[in-house]
Amino acid sequence: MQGVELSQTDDARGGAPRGLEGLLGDVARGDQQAFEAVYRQVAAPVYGLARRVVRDPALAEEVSQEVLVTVWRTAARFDADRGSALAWVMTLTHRRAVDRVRSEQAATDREERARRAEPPPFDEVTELVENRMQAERVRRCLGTLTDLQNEALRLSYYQGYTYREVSSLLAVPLGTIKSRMRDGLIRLRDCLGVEW
Amino acid sequence: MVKRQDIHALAGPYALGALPDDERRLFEDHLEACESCRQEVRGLTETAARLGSAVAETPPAALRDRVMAEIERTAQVPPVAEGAPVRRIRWSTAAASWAAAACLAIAVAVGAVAVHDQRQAAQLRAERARITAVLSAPDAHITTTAATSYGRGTAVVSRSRDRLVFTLAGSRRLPVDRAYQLWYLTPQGAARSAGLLDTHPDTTPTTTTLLAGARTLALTVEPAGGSRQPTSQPIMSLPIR
Repeated sequence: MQGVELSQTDDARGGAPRGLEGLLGDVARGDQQAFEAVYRQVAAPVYGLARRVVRDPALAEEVSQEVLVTVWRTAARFDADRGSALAWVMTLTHRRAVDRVRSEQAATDREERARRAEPPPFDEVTELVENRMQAERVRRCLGTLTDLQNEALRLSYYQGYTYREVSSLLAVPLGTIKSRMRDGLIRLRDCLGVEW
Repeated sequence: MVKRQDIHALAGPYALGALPDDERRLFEDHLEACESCRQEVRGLTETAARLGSAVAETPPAALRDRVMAEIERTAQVPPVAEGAPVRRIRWSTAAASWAAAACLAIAVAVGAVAVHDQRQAAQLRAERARITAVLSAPDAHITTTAATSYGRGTAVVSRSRDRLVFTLAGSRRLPVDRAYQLWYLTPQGAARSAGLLDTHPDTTPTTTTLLAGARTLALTVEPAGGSRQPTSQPIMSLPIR
């Protein structure tokens, strides 16, 4: 089981002949088989991220369905010059999930909720990951960040807060938060060896 | 309370999806003309995506059936024609919901007017070019007011372009006999009009030439048609560096 999962991960990174980018080209021409292959590669990352941001499993499913149908509908608009297919799909997912949480609660509610509910430790949410090795690398690299970089990345990416909200939640000036988000991502990028 | 920031520093929050919609649009406009920013954003967006796939979780099996059933009845969009003149259009449609709405609104306005009045359309196109020039300037700075009951004002200032772009997000619709008017204020207290805002300030940025010596941009509500001097207290103000 583990072996199968890992090979899917390799596939998702574009290592296999039928990488996501090529598959999306077929999807754009209406190929439902190709879409099923795309589904197999991205459904878990999409659902996992949606679940992490919106929390509620039923809502996460709804968001995932919207995102995956958007992938089908707009595959022709994917532009490899702009980044990888997985990054495109994850950006769609994050945007959609964040739209949902931002529209459902006033900012003040969300800040209040964040104060009460500390984000769960990273280990807990990685329990079910299919791409365990990659997740382990991300976890290790997050460990090389400063506490503030770490918090800024998690609060914004996993909980959908704007940098303004993160600034007030952590009582840190806006300019500092912006910089920590950028230099935190740069450190993470270099640690993970992301090449783009 | 006013925040000034270097537009380039928004790359991190942008890649993390942490910009409010209005700032995201401004930053996307900036990206259009800043190749080095696009490169950095690409790497940072890939990195953020790793944060996403690191929390992958197997969805319920029923999701697959529902998705496959829905795509059966969902039409696909065609690819954008080659040689589309504005790269921004490709970018925003490529990511579906990544709409650079402010810019698109201008594009739409240009298109709509062109049918009726070629000369006005040309003026609007020139206006759009001026806005893009400010947003893409290397020294572009964003200043944003706190949210007020009249919305939130954002100004992008470029000294090298000698221009300023102002947008009002979440603005209040005014009675027909009233209008939003922008002013330059000098430290000595003199005010000079920087123009009236469009009747739909939410979607239409305003651009104006910087006034030498002005240190503050202020917004007031004036009688329709505007005033020679402000007749009411500013509803918001922004410092100009």
